[in-house]
Amino acid sequence: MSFQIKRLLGYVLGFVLFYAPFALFQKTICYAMTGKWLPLTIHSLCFRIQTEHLLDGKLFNQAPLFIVCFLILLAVSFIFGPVYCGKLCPAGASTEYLSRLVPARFQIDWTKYVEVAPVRYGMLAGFVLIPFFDTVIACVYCNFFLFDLFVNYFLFGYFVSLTSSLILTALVWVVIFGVFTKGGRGFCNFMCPVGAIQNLVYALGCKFSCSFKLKVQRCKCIGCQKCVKACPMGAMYIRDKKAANNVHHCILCGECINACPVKAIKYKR
Amino acid sequence: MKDKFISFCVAMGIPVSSLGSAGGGCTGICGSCQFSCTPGVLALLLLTGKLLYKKLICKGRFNYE
Repeated sequence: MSFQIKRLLGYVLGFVLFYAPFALFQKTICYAMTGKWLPLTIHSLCFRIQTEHLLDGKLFNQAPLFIVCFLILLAVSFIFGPVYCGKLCPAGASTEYLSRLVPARFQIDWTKYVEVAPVRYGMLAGFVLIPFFDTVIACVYCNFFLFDLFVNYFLFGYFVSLTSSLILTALVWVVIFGVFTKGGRGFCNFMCPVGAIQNLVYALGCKFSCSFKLKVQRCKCIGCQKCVKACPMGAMYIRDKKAANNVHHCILCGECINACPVKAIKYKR
Repeated sequence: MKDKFISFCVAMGIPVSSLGSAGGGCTGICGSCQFSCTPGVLALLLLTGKLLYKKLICKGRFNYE
């Protein structure tokens, strides 16, 4: 089976695991905790709300299901990296696949003009500061919510009216940072707090030998830049004529591993 | 480093600016909040301006070469 088909199947699995009508991940955890099989949705495990309450002490006031799901996300990110983003999140993948329909000459490569990590972590810092002022913005620019709405519409014909913030989010997520961005993952790069927190934990995990990470064997690398062109997040770059990986915005999608002609990039401990 | 710090602060200002929106009674319907989301929009404009400025400089260099 080709890499691209495997990758696509991963996102389908992500949809089955996290989104209604299946939502098997949260339903299984809920069943393990309460013995009840409940009709849950993406909102039942909302990673954004927990991320927002990471510093203000209200994280552990949330429902136990919320806390358990979030702790699993952090543990997985620490050991395996941001695999939720790279292998499972169908919301991020949808704009990446849509962006392939638009010719490259119409797309902006934001990484050329803006350094991703400071903007990404700046947004995250603002996001976790907000609850200190008794305000919550987790749902305001949520692409998971929008993805859920679109899926509901196409599957069941059910739709809710969008607030101006959600219309703006749709515009930014699908159009500006989606189809007209190189790689189609501008929203993931700049605006997703769930991705940012995972990369922060991944960057920490990379310092330990027990965690899995992307490794470039510099002796094997021929500096062909194929990985740089293939990376949808713009996380691969050339340093001293060899490929290097930026852990602060790599989502471990595996495109670089697949593109490398000499198999110099490995995902291992 | 200075550039990174500015980008960090500006990006942090985008979600933080929603404080003004909530205080101004923003209901998510355009206009009802007396445009208290302006700081966030300004932050976004600053980032866009920075991007365009860099793009113009790159273009200038290219033309010169």
